Amino acid sequence: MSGISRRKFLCATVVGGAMTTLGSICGKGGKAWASGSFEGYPDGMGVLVDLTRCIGCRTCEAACNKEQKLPEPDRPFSDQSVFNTKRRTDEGHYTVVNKYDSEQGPVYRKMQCNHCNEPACLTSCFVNAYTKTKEGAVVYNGNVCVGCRTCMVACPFNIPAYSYSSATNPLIKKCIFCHETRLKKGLPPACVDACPQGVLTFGHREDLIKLGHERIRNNPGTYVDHLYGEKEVGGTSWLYLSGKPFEQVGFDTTLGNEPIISNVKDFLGFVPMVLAIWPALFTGVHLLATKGKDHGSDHGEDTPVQNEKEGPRS
Amino acid sequence: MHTVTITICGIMLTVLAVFTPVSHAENVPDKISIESLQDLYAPVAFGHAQHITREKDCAVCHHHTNGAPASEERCIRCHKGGHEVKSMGCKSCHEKDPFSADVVNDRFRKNKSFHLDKPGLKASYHLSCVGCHKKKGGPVACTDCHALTSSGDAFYRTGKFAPDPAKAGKTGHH
Repeated sequence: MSGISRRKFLCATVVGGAMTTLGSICGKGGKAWASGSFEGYPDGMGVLVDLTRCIGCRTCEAACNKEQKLPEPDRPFSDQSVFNTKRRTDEGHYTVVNKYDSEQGPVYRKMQCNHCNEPACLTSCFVNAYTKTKEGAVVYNGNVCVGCRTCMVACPFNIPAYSYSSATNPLIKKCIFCHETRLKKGLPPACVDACPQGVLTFGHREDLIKLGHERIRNNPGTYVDHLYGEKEVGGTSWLYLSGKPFEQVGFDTTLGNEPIISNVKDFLGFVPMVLAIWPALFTGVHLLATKGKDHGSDHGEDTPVQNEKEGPRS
Repeated sequence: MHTVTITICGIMLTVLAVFTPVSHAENVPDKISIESLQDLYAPVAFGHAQHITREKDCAVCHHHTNGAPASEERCIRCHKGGHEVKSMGCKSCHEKDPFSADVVNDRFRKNKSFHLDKPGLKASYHLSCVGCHKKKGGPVACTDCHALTSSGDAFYRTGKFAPDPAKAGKTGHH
């Protein structure tokens, strides 16, 4: 009689405990994790990209190629025929400019890593190969990368590329904001330095947000009243102004303002508990619950009713 | 006699009207070599007189700096009477190095309320020239105004630095 009470008590305790933990992770308690509230480091730098100024000269691409010592391109950087296709960043091109036709003439859009405040590549990487530096860059450490390419799937902007051409040491290749050679020393990235049209403005991210809104206010009718990257996926270091609706010039406007990690953090919170705590707990419970109990399996079909009666008494 | 005097006066007035914009200041250069940023491209041989004849209004490029009233609405608040500066060249206000730590850190910390968004020198030249040329049908290709230097050829991989077409497709994948 006393054995059964103890068993019931233990079961109730475990179930109650599990429910409390679950509740705190699933329910409102999840807010305590506070992803989405990080607005970047106070001195984090950024770049304001003004699409209305770009003339598609591809000087930024040439500057990136030189600065990052990327392989020789297939075609000269003055070749405008590249605009016939929509290109993506790849192992040899950390930034590309694409052309979008509109009634008022072509619109050019430069793309590269947006250096998110809460990068999905970083949060998805299980070996911590990515770092968000205090200057605002999202950098990558190839020495610890195992090549799982989860970051490539996680990135909402499809930026990280893989050097498939390397048979022995393939790595993730992406824009690193010229962190090592320039940003760390307080210099703007090479593309910003090279741009002749003032498309790219380098500065503190918080200043650029003000500047972007001021430019919209001072030039009525020139811009769509939105600063892309101010809030998207929790905010990005690179911000964009456009004269055309963003979805018409290659931007994904369906991403929402929550960092990508918010979509998975509830689930990921379970993983350590389910994988580590649950098996230990339930094994313990099982062992306690069946302590001294004759399992009966050794006895085959020998009068199980008798076993049940005789077994647990001690 | 009377008609002759009137004709002469008329001719003189016409001549004055045509040449006034060019000749009212003694030190307005007819030709300017824009060369302070030359590197990838050779200097631009800028036809100053030609542009003055075409545009008439100095404020199109020089804002309020020649003493004429500012033309843009938001500038008039302060520069209604125009504020003449000593040197009217672009580079005396627009920084050659617009993203130096000083400029970047001071942008919002010193009170420059209405000049916050001042572009750097290179951007000023191009925004002003290309912007106007686009509107008025002037030349807009890079090499229409300045020729590539050999370091420019190396930078853009053109001319003798052009990639070997035989190797095309070896780098990257799309």
